[in-house]
Amino acid sequence: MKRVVYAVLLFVLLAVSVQPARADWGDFFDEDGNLKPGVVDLGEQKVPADWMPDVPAWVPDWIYDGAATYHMYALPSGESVLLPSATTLFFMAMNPRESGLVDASGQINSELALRIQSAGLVAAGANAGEVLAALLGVYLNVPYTKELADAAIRGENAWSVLKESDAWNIFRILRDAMVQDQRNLYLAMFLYSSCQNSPTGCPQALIDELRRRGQCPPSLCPDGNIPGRTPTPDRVVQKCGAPSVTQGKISGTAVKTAPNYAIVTGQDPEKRGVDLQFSLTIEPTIFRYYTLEERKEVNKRCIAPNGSLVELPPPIEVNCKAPNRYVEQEEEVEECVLHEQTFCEQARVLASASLKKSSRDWILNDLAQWYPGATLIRPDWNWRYATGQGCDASNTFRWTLVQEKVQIRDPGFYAMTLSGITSGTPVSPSRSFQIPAGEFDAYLMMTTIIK
Amino acid sequence: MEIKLSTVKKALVVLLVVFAAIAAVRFVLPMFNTAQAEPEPTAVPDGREAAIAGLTALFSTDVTTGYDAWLQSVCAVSTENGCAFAELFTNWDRVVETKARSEYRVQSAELRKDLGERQVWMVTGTIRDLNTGEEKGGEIPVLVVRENGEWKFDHFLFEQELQALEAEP
Repeated sequence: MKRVVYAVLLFVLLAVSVQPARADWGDFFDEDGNLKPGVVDLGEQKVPADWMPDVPAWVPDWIYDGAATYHMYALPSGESVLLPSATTLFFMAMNPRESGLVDASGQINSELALRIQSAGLVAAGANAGEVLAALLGVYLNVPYTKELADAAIRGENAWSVLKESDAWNIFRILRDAMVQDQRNLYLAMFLYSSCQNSPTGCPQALIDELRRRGQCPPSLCPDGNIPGRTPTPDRVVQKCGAPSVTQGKISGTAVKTAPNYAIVTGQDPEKRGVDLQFSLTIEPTIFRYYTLEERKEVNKRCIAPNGSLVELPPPIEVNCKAPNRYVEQEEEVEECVLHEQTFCEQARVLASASLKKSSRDWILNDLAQWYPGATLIRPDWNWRYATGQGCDASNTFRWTLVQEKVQIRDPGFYAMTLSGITSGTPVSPSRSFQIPAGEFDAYLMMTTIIK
Repeated sequence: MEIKLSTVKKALVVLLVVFAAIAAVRFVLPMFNTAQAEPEPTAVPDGREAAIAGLTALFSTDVTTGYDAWLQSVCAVSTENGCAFAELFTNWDRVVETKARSEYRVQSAELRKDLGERQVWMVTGTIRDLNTGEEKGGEIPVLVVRENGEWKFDHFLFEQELQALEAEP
């Protein structure tokens, strides 16, 4: 019975699409919903995503890493299908613009085609709100789907909709959706005309696999096969050395740019606050590899009458005198040639400011003696969205954030931190980082009676 | 037999009888009327301990004891939703990869929002890496829920969740 249900679902899945797909779903799956030969199964892919919800930077990444999770399939031509996990799908629907589900005008993004299992609810030409409501309701069984979808489309904080007690069980609902699918059968599929347009980008595993098959198209492998990504011949390694990858240094700074002496909000009637500036730089990742290249070389020798080689200082052609014989011979020699390729490593960054422990202790102990009831109001601050970010011509990634008039409530010394996770590069994996970037202070004016 | 009392004595006897009657009504009768006695209201403990217990279980891990033991310790003090939260988001492969062993200690907890059956606590604490001794931590909002009169840990709140809650009247 279960098989029949799945067969029906998969039939529906193959028969319905919200938008005409640029690539054919039939290229990925046969009529029974099985993966077709030639499709690359890339397994689970985790990618940093700005639209995933925020937690303080010090929360261990094994509990929450802010990454979106997809199961990914791809064709040798680069088209890819992403199946988001239940939590990723939920957060995509909650942040439809940022996650790329809908475009700036609120329409289902033309870069992707969507297949879902509910023919009844989502028909061709359905609007974005209906599609989101179906994603949330049919797949995830989340309550208040219409309200959630409407809030999400309007760009509002969709969490505000989840007020009633049954909506507070959102994680149990999402877990049940995953358990029901045994974590294998995912809920919705997104088809991208190229992995380059997809949230995961083109994972190294895909490029490796396509290179291995000799099918890597120029759009994915503009430099052809990078030696070293395919196994480097032993002869080259023995003669020249193994290829190497040097990941770029990640560095960050944070400064208070104004005012010189900031005071806490309660004593700052003009609400001047503090201006902060964060900067993160990731130097390019450098991939070095050797090739053996043949070169013609003129070999100059001085031969004695008996045929033996005469050792002479250069220039041999001048120093080689009769009865010896000067011989010039052209030979082909192999030479190790070093190649360097650089890659830009991007990152999802969280800028934080946190009141230092000594200042917290001072407020809770010393200050509380002067002003009974003195307590911490907002000692931790987080900011996510950059003022500017991108890769420059040298493949260096730069991320900057200017945060003006931050209304500091608790006096003391603040440690500023830059943390996050990188996207990795075609030759290096993703990595997480946490960098102490600077500090600033906020003052509290106190009255002292001088006798 | 006739007992004769003076006027003063009569007044004293009347006063004594009235006093005895009042005393009987005030102190003695209630002892025979236990059915109508109102019980002292029992103080319902708030969610502070649940917030601390849940966060401590969530952030304290030991790769050597394994995922099941860790999840069991979290779920023992959590709602079903909180248990699902731990299951959904935890990447145990990362715990194994980093050989994580950590201990969480709470410095303070303050009630941020009281919504009746739900409370938000701002918990300040430190995670100590038992392998390196390194400490990191800070403040985090925690949701606790009262189920059948018992407060349980639900989950730590995402920033967007907290903002939505703060916007509630």
